[in-house]
Amino acid sequence: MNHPVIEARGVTKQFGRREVLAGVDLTVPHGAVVGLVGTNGAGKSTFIKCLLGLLRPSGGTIRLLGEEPWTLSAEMKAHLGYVPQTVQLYPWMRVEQIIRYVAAFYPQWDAAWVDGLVRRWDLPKDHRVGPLSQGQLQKLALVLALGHRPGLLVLDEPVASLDPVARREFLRSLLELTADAEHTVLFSTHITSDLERVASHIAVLRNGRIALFDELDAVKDRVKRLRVASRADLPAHFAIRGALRTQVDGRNALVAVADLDDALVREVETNWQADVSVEDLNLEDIFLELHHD
Amino acid sequence: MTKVPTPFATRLLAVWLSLRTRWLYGLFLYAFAIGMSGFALEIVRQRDQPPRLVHVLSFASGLKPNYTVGVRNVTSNDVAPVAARSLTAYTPLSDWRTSDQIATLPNLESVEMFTPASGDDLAWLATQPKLSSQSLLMTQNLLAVDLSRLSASQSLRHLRVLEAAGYRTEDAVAWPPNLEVLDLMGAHELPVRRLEELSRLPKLHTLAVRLNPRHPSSKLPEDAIAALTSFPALRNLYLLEMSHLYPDLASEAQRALPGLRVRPSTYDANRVSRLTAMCLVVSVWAAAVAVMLSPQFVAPQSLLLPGYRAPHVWMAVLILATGLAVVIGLLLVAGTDLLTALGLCGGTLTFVGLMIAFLGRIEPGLPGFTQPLMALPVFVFTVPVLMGFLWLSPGEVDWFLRGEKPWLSETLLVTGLVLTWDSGRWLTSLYRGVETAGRGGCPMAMLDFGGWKTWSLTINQSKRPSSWRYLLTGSEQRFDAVTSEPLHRAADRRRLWDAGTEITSRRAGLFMVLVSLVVFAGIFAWGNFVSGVEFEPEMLVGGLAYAAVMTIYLPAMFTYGRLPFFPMEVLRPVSRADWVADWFTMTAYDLLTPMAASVVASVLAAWLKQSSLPAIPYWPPICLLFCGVWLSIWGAELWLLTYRWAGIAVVVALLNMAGGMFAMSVSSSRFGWEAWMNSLPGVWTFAVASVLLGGCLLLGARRRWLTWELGA
Amino acid sequence: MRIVTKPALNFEIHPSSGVPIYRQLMDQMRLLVASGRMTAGELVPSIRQLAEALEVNMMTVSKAYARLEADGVLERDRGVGMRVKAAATNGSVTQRQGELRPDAEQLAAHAWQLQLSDEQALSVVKTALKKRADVDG
Repeated sequence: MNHPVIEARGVTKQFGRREVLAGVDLTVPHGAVVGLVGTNGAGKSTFIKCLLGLLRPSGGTIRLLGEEPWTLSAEMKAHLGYVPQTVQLYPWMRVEQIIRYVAAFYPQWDAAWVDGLVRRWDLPKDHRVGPLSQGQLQKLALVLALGHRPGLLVLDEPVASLDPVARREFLRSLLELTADAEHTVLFSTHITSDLERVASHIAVLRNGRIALFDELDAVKDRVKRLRVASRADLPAHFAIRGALRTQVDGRNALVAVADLDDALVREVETNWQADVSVEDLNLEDIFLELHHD
Repeated sequence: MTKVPTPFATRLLAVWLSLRTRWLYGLFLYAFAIGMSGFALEIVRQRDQPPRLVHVLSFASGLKPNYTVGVRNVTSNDVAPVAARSLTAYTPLSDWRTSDQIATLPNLESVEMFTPASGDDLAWLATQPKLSSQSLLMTQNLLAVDLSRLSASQSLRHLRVLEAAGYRTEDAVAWPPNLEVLDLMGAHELPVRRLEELSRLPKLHTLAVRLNPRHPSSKLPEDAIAALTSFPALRNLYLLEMSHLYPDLASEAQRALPGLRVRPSTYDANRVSRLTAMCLVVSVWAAAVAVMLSPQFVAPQSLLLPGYRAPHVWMAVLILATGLAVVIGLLLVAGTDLLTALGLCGGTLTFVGLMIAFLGRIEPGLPGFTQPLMALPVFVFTVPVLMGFLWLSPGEVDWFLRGEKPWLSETLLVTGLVLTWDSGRWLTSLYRGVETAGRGGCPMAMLDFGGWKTWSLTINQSKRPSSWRYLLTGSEQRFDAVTSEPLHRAADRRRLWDAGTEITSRRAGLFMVLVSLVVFAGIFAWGNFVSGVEFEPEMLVGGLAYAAVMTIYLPAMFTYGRLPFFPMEVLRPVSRADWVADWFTMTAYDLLTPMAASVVASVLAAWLKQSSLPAIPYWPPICLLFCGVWLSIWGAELWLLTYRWAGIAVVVALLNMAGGMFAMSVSSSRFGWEAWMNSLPGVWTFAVASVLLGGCLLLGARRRWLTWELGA
Repeated sequence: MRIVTKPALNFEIHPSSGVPIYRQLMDQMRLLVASGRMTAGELVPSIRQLAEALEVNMMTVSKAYARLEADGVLERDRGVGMRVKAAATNGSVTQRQGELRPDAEQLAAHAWQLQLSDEQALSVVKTALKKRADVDG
């Protein structure tokens, strides 16, 4: 298997005249846990649906392990797990029934693991699905998507309605799944704190394009904020190369940079006779910096 | 500054305007327009219809109100020895008789004949061993002498004399001894003497005659009444009324002869057709009102917004009341009894009450009926059942409209009021219960099937399904068995898809057919009891065929309910082409079951009727036509599904209702179906066209399914 | 935040901090080694153990270990796991002072922003150190 798990090239999608995706390029390697972040309406769900063959891209190509999503083979689908944003489960089935029902489709179903998950996540086995709360439904949907230990797990806002305990259990399960570095996960979210523990990669979707895709650590290493304190007032044309956002107030300036190195700091110090201190940014800060216009 | 309260009328107007935005309301308006125009047409067309004859013998097998010269119901086997060309059904009877190769027609069962029929013809017919019914058109001078010559026949049970001048001859007439039904309606007034003669017939149970009352009262003469009471087996008496002279003849006679069922031999077609139109209009109307009314008690707005509920409820009441007033007024103008009109009001209220009850009643004891889904069958069934009854027994309906069945009117009125009160009470308790129902919440819209389902599941969470419910859902053991089998073949997978639907459309169809079996059997039993219509098995079988046809829309409806799950299901380990194939196969089976059942039942009904089976050369194109219709319905349903339009079920159901009614009328030969069927090229053309249409629809549907963006 | 006591090591992870988790692990491992709380040749927890205990991605832990190995803090003992490298423990004063440098830079920047003189800043540090010594007794 030398194909990347996901390979998207210039994917576009229009609904009528509204362009939601404007050329998404994304290559996800094996074993990566990719967090797909973006604002509401950035096109995360649309991209995921294109990825799974639930929507047909208007342009560009997508390959899942070399296969085109629209015509995925049964074998490929057997290694695919998906939890949509709005969970739809057969309301009349009992929890144990729906688990048995979904399991029947997958030859490699891991019943023991699923049993453990149901117990850990505190799902009522003999209750009907219909009246379950939104959070319980989401947990159940996650169990059902994990049960066959999918090689590629795609989750659309999986934790939006989970309580903190369930959220932590969910992250733990994800870690269990990906422990062997064989399983790839792509999950969209706008809650960046979910990503920090589990994600190995982060992709930021903005204006229908991938604005940033890299390893999470690398992103944290590179994207920094510089606090510049000059001895004199900074001029109006104050600028630093690679700046994401610049705020100037008299002698002080705050600059977020996309790619920090020592040379850059020295350059700023000498060019503007300023004292520069470097501040670390967490994911939420980075996300906000990326979305300033 | 105090806010001036908006006048109530203004709020009503606002409700009316807001209604127009709803698609359902659009549908309602559409149906209403169609219904009203049909109604108006009916009234204009039938403004001055003469009274129509009640077909006293219409259920006596083999007899039709046709006036054909010659011999009917002669099979080709009978004429094999003779040159078949020279003797046809239109050959005068004398030619048959004089054709010396034929001594008897062993299978001759019924004859309809005109004059000139000689006494010898009658004598010859009396020797036919199986002849059981006969219609005669005779002249005065023949009658007295020649009718006696039929008396040798032991098998003759039904006799109808279509036209004869009178029976005033002094000579006694000998009647066939085993006569059961005698229709002398076409003849002039019958002397009492002849009545005494007839009273000696041991098996005569139905008699249609013209007996004039003593002028100017509408009362029959004493001696006629005495004669009529002396009949040993008589049950039904039809009297020819001359409405301008003796409008109450039948009513008075009924009072004088309480042991008999006395009816006029004609009925007022205007009244009956107006009632027919009313049934159509009001049912659609009432359904819309029920749908509109119910959410007003459960919607959050109705709980939270002050002054929301009253105008909405009043608007519904207004719509219903206006409709009722118009239609009842028209019925009254046409001469309907006042109590009966009120009874019809009650009937409409019953219908509305039933709609509300079926639409939303959460009855833990009857979990199968909790589904609003059941409302559609109720709606779909009530109308044709009413119409069917109107067609089957218009005379009886007119008798009711004359006000001669006060008990029925009273029952309808009381039932309507009780059900209305009960529905109102239930809706109010529902309204109170909404606050305490807690989780899940009561759904707002009546057509929010999923919402109702979830709500009822919440309420019935801990309850075990009752055992009879398995008829609808299948047992949980079956579910367990299906889900524990490994998937080897496509059939296993289809069974698994199937298990994802709680009630399969096949089961629902079976259930509907069973229910209709009970309903139709009840109707016919009732009809037999009330109107003396003889029960014939083909009617029941025909009704079943109709019911089976009605279930055609079920696959589309049930697949529609499955749509929200399609995005997940298409990602199960199955290729898209296989997935599409699975669903096409499943819906094909789903459709095939009711269609095949209806065909078998139709053929059986036709065979039982012994008349309307088409000739052998017509069978291949008819089979082909059936296939084409089946393909078309299949393709159209699957195609429409991809548009995810919620109204599809309603549209299909309405189309279906029309189709079912058409099928029903075809089976009772009310349209020019026979003439059409007699043109072989015509049948072939239709058959081929339907197959082509079906093929195109199916291919188009498959294309759409393969390129269907399920995530949209 | 989760304090892990089981592998007899105290790691404290702040996932939402701006410092990458692998860097937090490296810093804390260095600190443990430099302070002598981990001795030469001592086995560190396996990647899986640590990842599970801290609930972080295994790749993160493995990255931290790899970097530490490259930096000469840890060494791989085939078939057994990672051990603390002999040369790394109980480092020289210079080495240990090096660990303090980032905090000192931070302090200096702060003092500069508050426009404190060197003496004024140093006296604050001295007070803090004295307080610490009193606590230890």
